[in-house]
Amino acid sequence: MDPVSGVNSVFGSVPGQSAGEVALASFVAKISAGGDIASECMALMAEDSACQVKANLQGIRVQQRAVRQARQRRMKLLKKQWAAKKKSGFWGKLGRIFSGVFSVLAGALSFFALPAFGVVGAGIAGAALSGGCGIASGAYSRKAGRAAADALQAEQYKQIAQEAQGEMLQSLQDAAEVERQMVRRITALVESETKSVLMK
Amino acid sequence: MTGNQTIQALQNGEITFAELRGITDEEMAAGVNAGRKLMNAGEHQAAAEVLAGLALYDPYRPDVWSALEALYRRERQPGPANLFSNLARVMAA
Repeated sequence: MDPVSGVNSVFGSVPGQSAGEVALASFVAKISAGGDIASECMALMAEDSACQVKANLQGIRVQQRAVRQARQRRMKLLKKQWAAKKKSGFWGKLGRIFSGVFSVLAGALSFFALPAFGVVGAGIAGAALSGGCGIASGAYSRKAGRAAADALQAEQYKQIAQEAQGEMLQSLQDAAEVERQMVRRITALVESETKSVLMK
Repeated sequence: MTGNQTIQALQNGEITFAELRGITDEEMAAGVNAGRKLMNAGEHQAAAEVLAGLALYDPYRPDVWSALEALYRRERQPGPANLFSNLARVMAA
């Protein structure tokens, strides 16, 4: 792929193509590069340096604060619309595509917003630590009781985190599915247009 | 910005999947045109799938929601068309 234009050899520009067609070919090249959005996000979370989208973070960093705030406001409005429609069973009419899009946009990656996420590890570590201290100090029954309570709390945190992680993975898989469908349709369109240009 | 900060910003709606993919405004506009082209050719399912992907990539573009509105007006589904029309207005404001 050409690192400057982002156009690869399959979807490269062809003589006779308009600027719009070249931009579309470049779009296809970019969305086809690397893994799907789910695997790219998982790689980002894991701080994987081989992650394809990591190279694009430089541009995002310079984005203006006002733009971000305006987006947050708009996203809140979008979420409100989605919540109202969700209650009414509206999404049945639009099929899984849009229900998937809105659930990703409205609840996207909410796993990280859960307070439990940050304390799961601490809870588990705390339970293990207090269990160990209890035995060592000899005040066995009270501390063992505390350890059991802590262990139970840690177990609850773990369960919440697992459920949230399941939701997040589902959300990312929905996003990846929507992306795959888009890539398939646009690729087919670009290929058929490229063929017709070449045959002229 | 670290990976987790990026995911957090994505979750807050501060950045978009399109930005993560490094897609420019011109490329997004070309995607919307492709969706409209499919719609005009009568390929409504294909158009819906393309526009859904674009809405996911950048929900802040009014032209994506307007194209969806047009698609669902053609499909004679006023409910979704009105929703997409509202979203186009919100994103243009």
